[in-house]
Amino acid sequence: MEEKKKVPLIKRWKNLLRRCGGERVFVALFLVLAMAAGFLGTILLPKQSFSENENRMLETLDPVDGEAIISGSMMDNVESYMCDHFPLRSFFITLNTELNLAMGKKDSGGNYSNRPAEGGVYFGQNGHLYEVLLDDQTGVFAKNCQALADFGEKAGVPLTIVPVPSGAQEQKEYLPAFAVEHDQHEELEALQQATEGKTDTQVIDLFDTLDLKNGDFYYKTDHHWNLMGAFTTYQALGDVLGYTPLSKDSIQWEKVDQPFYGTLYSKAITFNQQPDDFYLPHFEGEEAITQTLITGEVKDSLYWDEYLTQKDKYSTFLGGNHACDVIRNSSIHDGSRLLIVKDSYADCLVPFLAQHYEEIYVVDLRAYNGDLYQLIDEKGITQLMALYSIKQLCDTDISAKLYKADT
Amino acid sequence: MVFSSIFFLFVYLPVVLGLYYVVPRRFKNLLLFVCSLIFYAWGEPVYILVMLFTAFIDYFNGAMVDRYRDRPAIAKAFVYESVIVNLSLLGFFKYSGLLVSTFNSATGLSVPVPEVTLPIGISFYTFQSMSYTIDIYRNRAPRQHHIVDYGTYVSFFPYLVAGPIVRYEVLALQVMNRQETLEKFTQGAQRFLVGLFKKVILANNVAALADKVQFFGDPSTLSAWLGILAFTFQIYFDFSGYSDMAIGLGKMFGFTLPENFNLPYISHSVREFWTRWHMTLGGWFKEYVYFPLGGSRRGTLITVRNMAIVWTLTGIWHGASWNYAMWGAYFGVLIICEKLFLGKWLEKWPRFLSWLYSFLAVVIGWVFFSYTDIAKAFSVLGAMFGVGAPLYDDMGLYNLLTFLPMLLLAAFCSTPYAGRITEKMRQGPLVAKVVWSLGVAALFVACTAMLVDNSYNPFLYFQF
Repeated sequence: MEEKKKVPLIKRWKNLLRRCGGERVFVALFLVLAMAAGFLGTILLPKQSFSENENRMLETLDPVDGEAIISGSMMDNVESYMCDHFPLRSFFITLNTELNLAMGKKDSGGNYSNRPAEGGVYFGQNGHLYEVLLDDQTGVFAKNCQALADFGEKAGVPLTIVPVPSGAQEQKEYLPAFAVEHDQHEELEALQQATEGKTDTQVIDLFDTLDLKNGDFYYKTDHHWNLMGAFTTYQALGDVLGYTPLSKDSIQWEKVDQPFYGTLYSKAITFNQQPDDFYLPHFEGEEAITQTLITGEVKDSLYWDEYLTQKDKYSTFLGGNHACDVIRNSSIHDGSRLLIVKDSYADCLVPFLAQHYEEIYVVDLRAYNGDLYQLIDEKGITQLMALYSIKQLCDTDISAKLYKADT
Repeated sequence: MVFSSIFFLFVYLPVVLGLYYVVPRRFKNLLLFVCSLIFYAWGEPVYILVMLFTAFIDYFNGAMVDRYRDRPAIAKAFVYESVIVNLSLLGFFKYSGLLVSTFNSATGLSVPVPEVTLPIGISFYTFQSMSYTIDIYRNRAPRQHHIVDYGTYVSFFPYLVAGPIVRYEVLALQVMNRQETLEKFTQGAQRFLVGLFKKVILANNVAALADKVQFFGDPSTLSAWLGILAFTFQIYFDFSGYSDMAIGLGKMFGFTLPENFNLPYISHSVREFWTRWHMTLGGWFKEYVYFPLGGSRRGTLITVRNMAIVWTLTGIWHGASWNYAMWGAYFGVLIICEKLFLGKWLEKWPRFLSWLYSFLAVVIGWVFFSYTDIAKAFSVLGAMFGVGAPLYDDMGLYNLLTFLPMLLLAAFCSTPYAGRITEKMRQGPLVAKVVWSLGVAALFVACTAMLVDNSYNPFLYFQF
């Protein structure tokens, strides 16, 4: 004891440091400080409730009770909360993607041990992101296909089915080398077969129309087609639906100032992704067009400006997915009434179609709970359209709603 | 709870470490015991009762064995009781489904298959718990009088859910008397970070490839090889990373836990592989099964029988499905062959060839391990050797291009060179030390990034 006391404290520390190795002490100290910082940071720093980049609500802490503990849901909740509110969270997420890219990865966000498996996102050329398309795993498409094929006959109104291929399908040239994709022709052909012989039902083949050789019709950072994709389709549909499409020059294309980072970017956040340009089409006499919501509220424009300042700019068109909206053009009085069952791909097509119809009923079956056939009868619908991205038809079952009148 | 999670790293561990170094010596074990129970209950809030039941049955058995030491028949009865209780629990929770469904398919009957979920870590803690009673019976270690000390041994969270399997005699003294030093703490932190890197960066990344190839099925030769190599690295880095983290954590709390992996993929025979792979499980079987059966001292025939028994048990320990038994039996056959004649040949072969033989033998083993469907396993094996599959396809080329750097890194880290080079840097001149320190810190940041992104983080031990 006496001996020990004579050694000065500094020297004892030095000896200890030498014995442990300064570099080891540094690493251990770094670990301890990082753990403490992560712990205190998560507890003390102000919390966000919504992640703009990822476009989703962040986890909140649930009240704790016995059942939540026994079922383990309390633990899952706390773990997700930790991940969602970790200090520098968006930096870490971006760093992870960048590290994966640096290691040679060309896709991100896939999970092949989940069922159904998720393919994630490809990093394509020219800053393009693409959904990784997988073969159907759930049988959802087959149900939707049959239900769509039967829809027109059941309603007794001519039906145009517009299955929209994904960006990855149409822009194979931009995909990473040897990238494997499911071929969506399979779904197109299935729809064509299912509607064979039904004179009132047509299936539109957009695969050639939207091909990269005709232009870039998809957002780089979003899973939707871009405005040009919708416009090109609008022109192609003129013959089928019986209107004379407006020319590109007669429309004013307003470029929005703010950059657009879409849903694909949310799954593949990097430090230097090029944003998309976001356009809104303006027409002569567009003051005549209104959007009536299910609540009865009437909007005098199809563009909801409040979304322009948010991440989710695509929802500027019609304000996103609503159960049932009515688009009226008061300058037309020919009794033309189109009903569209659709996913969000239709949202930026509707402003073009609105130039030619007195009324368009825009129905999102995922949210609509009324009787579709009653609506068609009551409103005197003259034409039906089903516009879906093929990806959506594979992922979401709408067949039950299409058959609803039966049950 | 798993080590490779944000919650463990940034809540559980700092809190437990902080408390551990604050409370007085006499409460340290109590603290570890309570915290370990929380750790376990975090993942298994109900089945913690099974774990506690096992633990305290053996606490009782140990006491009885100790008490009736001079009446061996009674003492032995308690050893049997311990073995029967533990194996029954393991049998019920792990194997009842397999046994009933096998019975059904053999007899054509349809007895309802019991739906029991496997309590995490049951294969590990029942083995440890049994070793307590047996070691006392064998006079290898003293009985543990303090229930808290005993509870700390059974439930110590670093090894509770995924090993190493620590036999009681190894830890008995440390539980009662150990010293925490800065030296141990810093070594432990370093070891923990190495394990975290192996698990989060190596294992999780190559796991994505292994799962992808399994998901798409019918691989080309190229894809089949990439997939199985990915699995080969995944299981090694996942498992050994977990062991490294356990050993590192142990050190941070002043414990020295046994090593569990020693660069298994550089082995030159299958026998050597098993002295380098999951060493504590091998040690357990050797100590409590192989030697009691007579080991290799009772003639070739008995030796072969004993090996066959041990390897089939080793296989089935890894999971309740016949493919695991087959995987174990496959190693049993190889090791028996090596013992009988192959071993002598291997010694004469060029070093590269004996390595290639061992590595291929292990990789082919992983085919049967990773595909629970035996027919699929054979078709993948066929694809690997060009039977019934194209040589390459787009999927294979894409996987090759996008995973090659990761696979090469994993391969490099499976050799002694990775450890040697980093150790040389650590002990080298100041510049090298600085690079090493910053490198380790950067890897921890990268691990955190992967975990915050909540990206792919599979947990392999659900089936064990």
